[in-house]
Amino acid sequence: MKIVKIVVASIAVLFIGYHSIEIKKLDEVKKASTETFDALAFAHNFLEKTLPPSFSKAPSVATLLALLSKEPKKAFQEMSNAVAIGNIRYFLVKGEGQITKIQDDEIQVLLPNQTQPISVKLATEFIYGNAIRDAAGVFDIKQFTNTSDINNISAEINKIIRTERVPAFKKQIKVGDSIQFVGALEMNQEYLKLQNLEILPIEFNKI
Amino acid sequence: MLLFLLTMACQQKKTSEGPKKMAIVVSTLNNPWFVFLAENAAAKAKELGYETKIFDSQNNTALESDHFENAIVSGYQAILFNPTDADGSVVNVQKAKDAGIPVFCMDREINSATAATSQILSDSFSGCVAIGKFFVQQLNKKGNYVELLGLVGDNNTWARSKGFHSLVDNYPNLKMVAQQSADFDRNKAMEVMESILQAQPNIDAVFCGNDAMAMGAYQALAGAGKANKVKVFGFDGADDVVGAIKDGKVAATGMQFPKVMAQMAAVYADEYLKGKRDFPAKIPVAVELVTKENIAHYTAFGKK
Repeated sequence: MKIVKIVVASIAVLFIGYHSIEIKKLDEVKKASTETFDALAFAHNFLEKTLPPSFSKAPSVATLLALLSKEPKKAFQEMSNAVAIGNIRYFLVKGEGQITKIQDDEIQVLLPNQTQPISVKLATEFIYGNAIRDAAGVFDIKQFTNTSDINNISAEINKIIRTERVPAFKKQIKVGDSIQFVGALEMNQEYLKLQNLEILPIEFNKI
Repeated sequence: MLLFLLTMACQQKKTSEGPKKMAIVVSTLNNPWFVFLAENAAAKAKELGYETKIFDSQNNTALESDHFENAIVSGYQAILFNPTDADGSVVNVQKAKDAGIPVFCMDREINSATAATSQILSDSFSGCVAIGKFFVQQLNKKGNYVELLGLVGDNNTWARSKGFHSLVDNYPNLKMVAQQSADFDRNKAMEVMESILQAQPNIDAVFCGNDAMAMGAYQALAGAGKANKVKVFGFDGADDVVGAIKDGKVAATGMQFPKVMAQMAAVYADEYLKGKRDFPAKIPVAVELVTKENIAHYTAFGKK
């Protein structure tokens, strides 16, 4: 009888023990723990495939400014986007105009307008933040659970523009050239500032 | 375990018949910023028809754990939560989730993608990117600077530092000559800064992970007669720094909006209890750059 008890107890211990632990190959565990989100690949796909279909829907700078002057609430509701909750919103805009000045950190462009021309700055150095990622409203934060992934996407998108697209474009242009561009514009809806606009470029071409 | 589940089941039945209640569990009520956060969460929950109670964890995860157990057995239907520790608080949130109580994190993050129903967080990284841009422009891309970090175990400390460095490190003529933690504490920041100034007297700027440390750094610089030469940058939007920016003592801060986070958490909890289930795991709340140019539009913890 005692032997039966020992056998039953041993089987129970072995059963519980077996189901209490899971044995995995060490290289599988290491591989799983080092698999990280590829923000650079996401950024390339975003700039090359996800974002371009929105370009045709972007208002011109002149159209946006006219609406912001007359009906700012409507402009923000219908045209702005942002992943973060708050007053900072982003607009996808396009423009066509003449380069009036080329500086280290920006290009000044004069955009023709019905009333008077609009002067804007296209940033060429300080291309940071979430404007480009968020402006078109096509970035879906619900796909992500990791905060650093969300931040890294913006950082990689900005880096591609700042270190690849801008230097190539700057080599082609000079003052007086006509260009067209699509870019992202940041606005604080509580602290509206319609002068000295700084646009972060996404795509630009010499006409 | 069976007894616990039975207790929970009985409690769930009881709560569905009792008054609607939300618990607000905050890391500490010793800091006015968190008092503001808790009071606004409670006010919004009351406005939505809930009874509320604020629990102070006193920066102690064990006490926080007690509060969660208390909230679970007392029949609270949702918990609006400001965690004490990104890792240590996960078990408490999971406990509530297992008991069928949704938890909505406010301002501070926990290191779990699934335990909380949603986490509503200041976008510290992006806020510090904006500060970093202003920092680089103010220093004309060159100079020596010091960084004072917050608590090294806090996610916000590193989100802020990483956001700042993601931009500033692209400018090789900006040299960080010292980086030390001052635990988000004003007095400690003053002591640390005094010590750094002994070894590094030629600095042009100090970037601080919060406003309390910015004020402490400013005091040390003023004591050393360097306040006019060295630019100080903070983060939070605290009352004294808003005043210091007006007076030209502090160059800039990142304004957080605790009221927005608190109200959003209460609204989300209410929506959850009414049946909604589709919430983003993380919701960033924008941080705004505040400088002397736009200070007239701001007051402590938000806009006028």
